[in-house]
Amino acid sequence: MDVSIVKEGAKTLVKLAGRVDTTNAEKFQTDIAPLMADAAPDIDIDCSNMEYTSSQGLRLFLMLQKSVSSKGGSMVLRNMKQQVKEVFEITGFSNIITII
Amino acid sequence: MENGIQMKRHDQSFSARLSLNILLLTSILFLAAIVVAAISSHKLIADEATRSAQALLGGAVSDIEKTLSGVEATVNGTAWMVAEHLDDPEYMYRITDNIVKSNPDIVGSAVAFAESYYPGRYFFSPYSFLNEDGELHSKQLGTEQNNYFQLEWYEVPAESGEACWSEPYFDEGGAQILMSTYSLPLKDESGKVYAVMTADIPISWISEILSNIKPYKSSAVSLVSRNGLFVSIGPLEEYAGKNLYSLVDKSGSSSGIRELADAIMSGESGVRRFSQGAKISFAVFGPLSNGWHAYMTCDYKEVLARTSEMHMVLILIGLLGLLVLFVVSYLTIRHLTRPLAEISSSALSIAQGNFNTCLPELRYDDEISKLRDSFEVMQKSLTDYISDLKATTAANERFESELNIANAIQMAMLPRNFPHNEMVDLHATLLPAREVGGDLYDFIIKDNILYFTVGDVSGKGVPASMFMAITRSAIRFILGLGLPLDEVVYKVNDAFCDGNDTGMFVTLFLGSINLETGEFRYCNAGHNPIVVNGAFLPAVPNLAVGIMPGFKYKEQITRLEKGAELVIYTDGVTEAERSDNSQYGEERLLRWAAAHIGHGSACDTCNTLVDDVHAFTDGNNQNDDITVMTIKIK
Repeated sequence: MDVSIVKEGAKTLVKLAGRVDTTNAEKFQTDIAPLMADAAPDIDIDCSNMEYTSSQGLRLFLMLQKSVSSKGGSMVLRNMKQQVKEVFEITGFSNIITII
Repeated sequence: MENGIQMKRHDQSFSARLSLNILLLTSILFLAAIVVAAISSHKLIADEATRSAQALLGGAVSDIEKTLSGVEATVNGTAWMVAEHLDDPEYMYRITDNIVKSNPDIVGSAVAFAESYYPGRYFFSPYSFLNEDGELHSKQLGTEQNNYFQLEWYEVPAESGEACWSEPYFDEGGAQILMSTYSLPLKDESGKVYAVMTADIPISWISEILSNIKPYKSSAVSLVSRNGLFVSIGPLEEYAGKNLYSLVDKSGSSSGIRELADAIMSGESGVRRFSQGAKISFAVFGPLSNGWHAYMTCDYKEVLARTSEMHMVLILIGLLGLLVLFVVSYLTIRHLTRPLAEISSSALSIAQGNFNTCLPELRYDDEISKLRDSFEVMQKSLTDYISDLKATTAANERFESELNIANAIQMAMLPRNFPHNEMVDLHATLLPAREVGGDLYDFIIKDNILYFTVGDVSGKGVPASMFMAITRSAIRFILGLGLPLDEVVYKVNDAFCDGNDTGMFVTLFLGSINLETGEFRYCNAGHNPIVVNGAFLPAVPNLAVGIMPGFKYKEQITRLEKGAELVIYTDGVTEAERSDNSQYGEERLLRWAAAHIGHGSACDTCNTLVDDVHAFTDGNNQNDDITVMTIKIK
């Protein structure tokens, strides 16, 4: 799992690559912690190189979404691969997380 | 470990090996010293022997010369009496008597007059001599048979006019012994020799003098005359009177003897080596004033015998020294290394688990003491480490036993009384990835309606298991209220969202089948699509429980025919991974369904799916809880 975070004006650009699974979920949580600490973030996440997420990963996306929403920001997940997108759809996460 | 011990090459103690090494080195040095000493002492002793032989020979020569010159002086000092009494021929006997009497070395003396010096007396040679009994006799020496004019002792000085010593000869006319004669020519005013005055000495006393010079048992002193005849030849009496060169001829192939004989006869003094077979000898030689030559032979073997003795003593002392050195060094090293053995035995004791073993106290602050201190530090670290490890292990064991209890409690929450009746056949299995997990299943039949649910709490382990327990209890309670399924999930969701700050959520499939009519109601709260008769059942995804309070879940309705077969599972099945991270996946699930649905009991179907997943993961660690529920409608 690689997470790169770039600030571009008011927006935060994030690139995710690899897998989120049991073995690295904690690291993923640490990696995205700065995003949750941000005051009024608009987060744009590029998921084109993301291979897989487990339910633990979903939980972290959910927490990030809640954090962003509570601060009046917005979060977008882009270019998600089909097999990853399916996980979001099955669990209904696509209902509350913007995936384009 | 046994092999390691067998591989050690020597069963020798450190001190023995070190001592042997020291001994070896010392022996080499000692041998080298012996060899050097032997070579230099050989040369020294040989030189010394040569010098001492020369000195001895010189002493003997001077003894002999003293005697010879005494004889010469006696004759020379009496010559005037002859000239004084020429008119009284008979007086000559008194002169010769006096000569013999006045010098104990002289055994005979004559005054031999020239032919017919006294008219009518062709031969006239008064002669006094000591016979074999030592009595003094006189006689006239010259006769037709004993023509002294032709004898060497007369002829040589008479012709040369010089005094001289004769070659050794056997005196048949007088004393009947081997003798040499000193001859002094007497001359008249015109210088003409009118008589030769003589004194005889026996060769035997010279031999006596010479035989007393014996630096070595085998050494021999010989005397040869001017012409090379042996005057005295030490022990080789049979050569007396023979020529020096006869010895050379007899010696055959021996080397250096002819050169030695030449050197002796040249009248020089010096030293020469020569050999006779294996025997190597040297000879010192020098001339006498009367033209004779003396030489002494010494056998090197005998000369050097003393050095051999000396070397034997040296070697014995050395061996004794080496033995003492070995014993002392062995004892010293053993004493010095004893602490090592003690530390070693303590270390072994520690290694066997006796951490309280005391290390020996050492007297000296040296390397061994440092080793001991290091061991002590290691012992303390080990003790601490082991004690920590024990505490940790105990804690782990406690934790593990608690987890085992938790596992038992969790499993007890899952119903085991699977219905196998004429209306429905249901089976379920749950394999947690750890001791406790976040998956759940439940079922209940009420008024011929089968309610069932399969859920998956995000994550796994203890946190997930707690939510699993909450969820399972909430569903049971709310189902009891007799609400529609979407209402049930709605209320469960609300209950779940209340106080959930951690973002935990549950995907849930809740269904109810009217076993009489086949009406199938279901609500999928973000769960994996279930398989009905080998195909995925279309479902509104809704949203996993615990994410958004107040979310409106939708219930769906369909109808199941008799013989319909349902497979409800968690993502532990589809996301089961092989070591290459490839997942079991939905396609494989459908292939499995095509092969196995419709055959065997619900239990069999359930087991084949679990087996298929395990066959796929091929021993790779299970990374999520796996739950499978199979339902057959009859």
